[in-house]
Amino acid sequence: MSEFLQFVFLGLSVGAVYSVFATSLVGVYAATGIINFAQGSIALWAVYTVAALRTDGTLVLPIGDVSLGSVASPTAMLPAVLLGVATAAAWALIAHLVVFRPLRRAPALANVAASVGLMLFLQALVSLRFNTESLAALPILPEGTITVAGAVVNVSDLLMAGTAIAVGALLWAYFGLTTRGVATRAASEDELAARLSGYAPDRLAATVWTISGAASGLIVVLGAYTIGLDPVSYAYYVVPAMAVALVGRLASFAVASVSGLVLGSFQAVLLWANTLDWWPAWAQAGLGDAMPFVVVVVALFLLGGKIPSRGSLGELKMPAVTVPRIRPIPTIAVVAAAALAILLTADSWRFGIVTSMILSLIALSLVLLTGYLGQISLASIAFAGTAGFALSKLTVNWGVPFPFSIVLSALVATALGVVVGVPALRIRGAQLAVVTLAAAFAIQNFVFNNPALTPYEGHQISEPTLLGMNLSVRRGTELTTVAFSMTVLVVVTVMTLLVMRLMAGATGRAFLAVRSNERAAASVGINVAATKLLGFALSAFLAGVGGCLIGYSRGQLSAASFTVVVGLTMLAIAYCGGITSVSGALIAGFIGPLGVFYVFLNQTLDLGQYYQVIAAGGLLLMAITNPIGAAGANAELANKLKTRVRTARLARVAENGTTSLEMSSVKVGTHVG
Amino acid sequence: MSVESSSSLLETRRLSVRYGGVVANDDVALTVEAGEIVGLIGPNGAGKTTFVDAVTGFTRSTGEVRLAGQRIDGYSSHRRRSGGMARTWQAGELFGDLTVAQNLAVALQRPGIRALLADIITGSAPPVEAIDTALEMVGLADVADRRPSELALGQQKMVGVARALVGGTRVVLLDEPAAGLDTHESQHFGEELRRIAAAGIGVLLIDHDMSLVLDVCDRLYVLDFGKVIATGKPQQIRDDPRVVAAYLGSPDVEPSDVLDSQLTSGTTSPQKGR
Amino acid sequence: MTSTLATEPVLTLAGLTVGYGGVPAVRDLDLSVRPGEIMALLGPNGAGKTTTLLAAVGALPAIAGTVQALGAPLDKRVERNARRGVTLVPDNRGVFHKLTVADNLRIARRKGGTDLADVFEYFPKLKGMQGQRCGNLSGGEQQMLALAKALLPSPKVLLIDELSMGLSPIAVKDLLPRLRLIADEQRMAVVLVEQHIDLALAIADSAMVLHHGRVALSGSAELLRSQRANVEAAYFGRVADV
Repeated sequence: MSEFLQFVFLGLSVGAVYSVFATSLVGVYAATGIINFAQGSIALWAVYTVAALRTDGTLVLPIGDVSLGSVASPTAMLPAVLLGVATAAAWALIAHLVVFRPLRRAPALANVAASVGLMLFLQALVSLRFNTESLAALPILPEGTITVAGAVVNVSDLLMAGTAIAVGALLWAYFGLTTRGVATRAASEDELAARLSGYAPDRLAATVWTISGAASGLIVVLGAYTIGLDPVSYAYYVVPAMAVALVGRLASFAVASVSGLVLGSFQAVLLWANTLDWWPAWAQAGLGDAMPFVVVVVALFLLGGKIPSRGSLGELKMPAVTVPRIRPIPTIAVVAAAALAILLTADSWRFGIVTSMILSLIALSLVLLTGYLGQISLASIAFAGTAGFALSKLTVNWGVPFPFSIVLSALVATALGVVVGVPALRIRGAQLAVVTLAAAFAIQNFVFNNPALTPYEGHQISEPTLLGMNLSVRRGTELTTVAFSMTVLVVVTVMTLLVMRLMAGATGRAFLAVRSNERAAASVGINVAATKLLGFALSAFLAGVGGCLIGYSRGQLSAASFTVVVGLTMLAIAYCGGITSVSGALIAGFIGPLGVFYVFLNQTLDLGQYYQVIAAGGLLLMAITNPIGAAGANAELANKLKTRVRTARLARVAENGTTSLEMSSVKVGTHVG
Repeated sequence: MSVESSSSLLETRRLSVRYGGVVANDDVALTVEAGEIVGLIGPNGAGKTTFVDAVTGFTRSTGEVRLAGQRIDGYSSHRRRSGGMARTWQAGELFGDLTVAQNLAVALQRPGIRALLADIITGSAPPVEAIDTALEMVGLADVADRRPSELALGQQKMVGVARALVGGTRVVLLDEPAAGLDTHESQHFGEELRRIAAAGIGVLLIDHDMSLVLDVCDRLYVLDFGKVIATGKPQQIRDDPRVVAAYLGSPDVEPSDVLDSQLTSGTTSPQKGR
Repeated sequence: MTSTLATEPVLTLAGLTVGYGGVPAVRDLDLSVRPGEIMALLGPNGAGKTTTLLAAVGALPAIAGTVQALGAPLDKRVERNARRGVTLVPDNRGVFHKLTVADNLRIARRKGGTDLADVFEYFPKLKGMQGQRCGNLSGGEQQMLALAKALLPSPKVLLIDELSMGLSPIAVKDLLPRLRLIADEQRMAVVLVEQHIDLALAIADSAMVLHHGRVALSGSAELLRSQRANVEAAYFGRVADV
């Protein structure tokens, strides 16, 4: 029992981080309606700032740095902590002013894409700007222990929990007791009414962003010594934080705060359970990371009740869609160009081309689901990964031959897609993005990284052959064979053409109808729930085919190909390329991770390490300047030109004298009258 | 589910809608026969749109909704539409990403596995003939390939009406279809409505354009505070003092009445030395 | 009724054309109100009354024409205009349902505004309801709260959209005279959009009837009371002409 208790207390530090992130998320949501995926990345910057200051007194800035001391006399603890917390507050404020305020009328998708972009950007920037290999966190909280009911408890864990509760209480008090805080809540309920009372919602939001950034920075700075310091994990602590924030309906500071602590403790207790004899082997890893998804599902389905949405003045529409038409000449031209590129390149460049083609298929799955059906999903890469792992089992254990192996594996992904799609029947927008992210996170850690599910020799995949031809990716010293590359080209082309036919047909029209107006779609007889599930199924199938091709291209599957980061990057890049068009998917494939653009950066410019910062930074810039995406921007331009031509024509009519104008108005009158 | 003979095409019995403590519809009983145009009028906030929402399954209600005698109040809204009950929306609610013709096409081709296979194998082109017929009926055949945003509000609403008429519609509930039409257009719309009804479709019309409603409807129901306060032929309704009062406030109020009431209420005379 | 209307207007709309997405809903409108004056803005649904009010607080940009408030052009930002003393009670009443009555009032208070105690004298019923969530109040009580909230910062120009929507006739008969009293005592200019034309005309000084975005009738309230048939015609369309 005392051992159990000990783990309960051990989990409090991590729980405190969840707790503060969650209350910060609730605060930002209350003030702006935005679910901030970058909350963890903002805190990540703070903790490395403190580590650098405490090591050699260097204040690292995004560009350049300021020396405030030396290795011999690093910055003292208190100023270092204050500076670190200040950087987090500054990043949060910058996020508000530069990213989210310009996007306040943008569709939910733009906000998700921007906030994911910011998350990836900051995380990549931390890796670039700080010496993450050697920097370590020094203790800040007292290191003693006390004994509670036989359990040895770190004082620091208790202090972390205390800080988390204090932060939660302060945020609650701000929103509940101060006039500004009350006005912030009011503005989130009815923006116009708040303005009519003389409040500027943007300024109220700026205050909350700053407070939330500082709070998130502080808790990570305090906990880093206990929890450990690495440039990835804190960024993803936002996932469990979002889960517990949802338990509090994104509205309750108390519930979010306490649930965060409980989740942290619960995950620690799961670790303790691993020491028990009867605890099953499959549950020994990743179960804790699957908890956020469980929590989200419980919060959304069992607890019931509605998550408050924010009423704002006039929202922009999703990017416009042009229904694709399959035109033979451009299609042949693109395929021929790809084939030529494959033949003219070799090794890493050819591998880049192959990867780009596969990624464009995965991006296409997002175009279908997010662009056409309007359901924001961050789980595509998990669908792809699931199919890849199924492929390993099917080909190695059961000897299923190519291409049936791909179809069957993709069907496994399809089944998973339907399951993940179920929450979409209840929620939409950024909240759906949170659920799918939690799902992807759970699948990554519980399935892909679970040693119990991984064979001793790794996830081998049998070489694909068709009618006696060897289609495998490697032969002898050749890194990427022509046969395999052409196989990928054929599969991707066929799938893309099929999807284009769907998009141009009744299914595509129904998807667009659901996307633009669910009520109206139901009122014309469309079963909205079934249509959404169909979308998830189709999208997961496409991603699954992509995952199989990734599997074949590696020969052996590793979880690294299907991490949540890759999934987030894919959504962000697909958004950037143009989430509503097939050409957008092609662009996304081109700039996607390990694709042609990466090879170009890596081989030609030797800038491979900057890939993530460049990609994420570019995405952010795109999202802010074109809130409806690149394809949207192009379509807008085309529309403007069209209107200009039409106006010019009208003007010409007017010049020809009033009689013709009267004629035309009579005509309008008669066709209505 | 009992089917009664000699039943109305659309009938509601004791239909009530409550939002929290507010009763938005209170025991509304209403019938629409095949080929009949029935008007539902009342001041702002009387509960007319709520009634349409309840009948078409977009808001929770108690009481009965029957379509050709069959109870459908447990059905989802898309199922009610498939059964032949269609509606339009006050704000048009067209699918902005689809052309006018495609807006109608989605009401004719429902998504599913069958549609999926058809898309891939045959390409499932929209049924042009049915779409053109419906668009011609509302005089919009020449804008079939435009996006809704390129049309005037009045035209958008007519597209909504056309969309509600395709796909075997038996009864249609029109929520302020004529708002945004000018006098001429609304007269024409009235004629179209008569033609629609003559084809055997039951029409429930909500509109603020009193001249249209009084002109075109066979019968009227008047809602105020969620209750039916009057029902009858247009002329009876026009002369009903209760109706005029509901719309314009009671005409018998004298200015002095209003100003006197502040003295009798006795709470509102703060003593101020300004 | 106020007798001293010979002051300068505090709100002037001149040649105002305003609408949504470039499509005018109100065309070429001229309107002005003076301190202590109540103007009833009437007309059937879709006539452009709400559009006019939104333009007058800066929530909708003018397509053409100007809005002058308190001797200066209107700011683009609603909150600036509100702080200067031009505000609106919107047709959804603009009360915050999730907040308590006390919190609703609290965020409306301003330095140099009206004392809460004075506002409670106009609406004594609210005093005992401060702990209640606004969402639990009846429509009439919410409308009182809306007015109380609007009065706290002592606006010079108060625009009210659909004061009586969803209220029982008794509640309306109770509210309107209070509005008259407030306008007189605070020397506040009021533009009142109201469905109950007789009740509105009974307390107003002047009135204007809009139809399809244009002025159909305008004049003193007395004049419009005497032309009730014409007002009714504007509502019921051509039927009344027959």
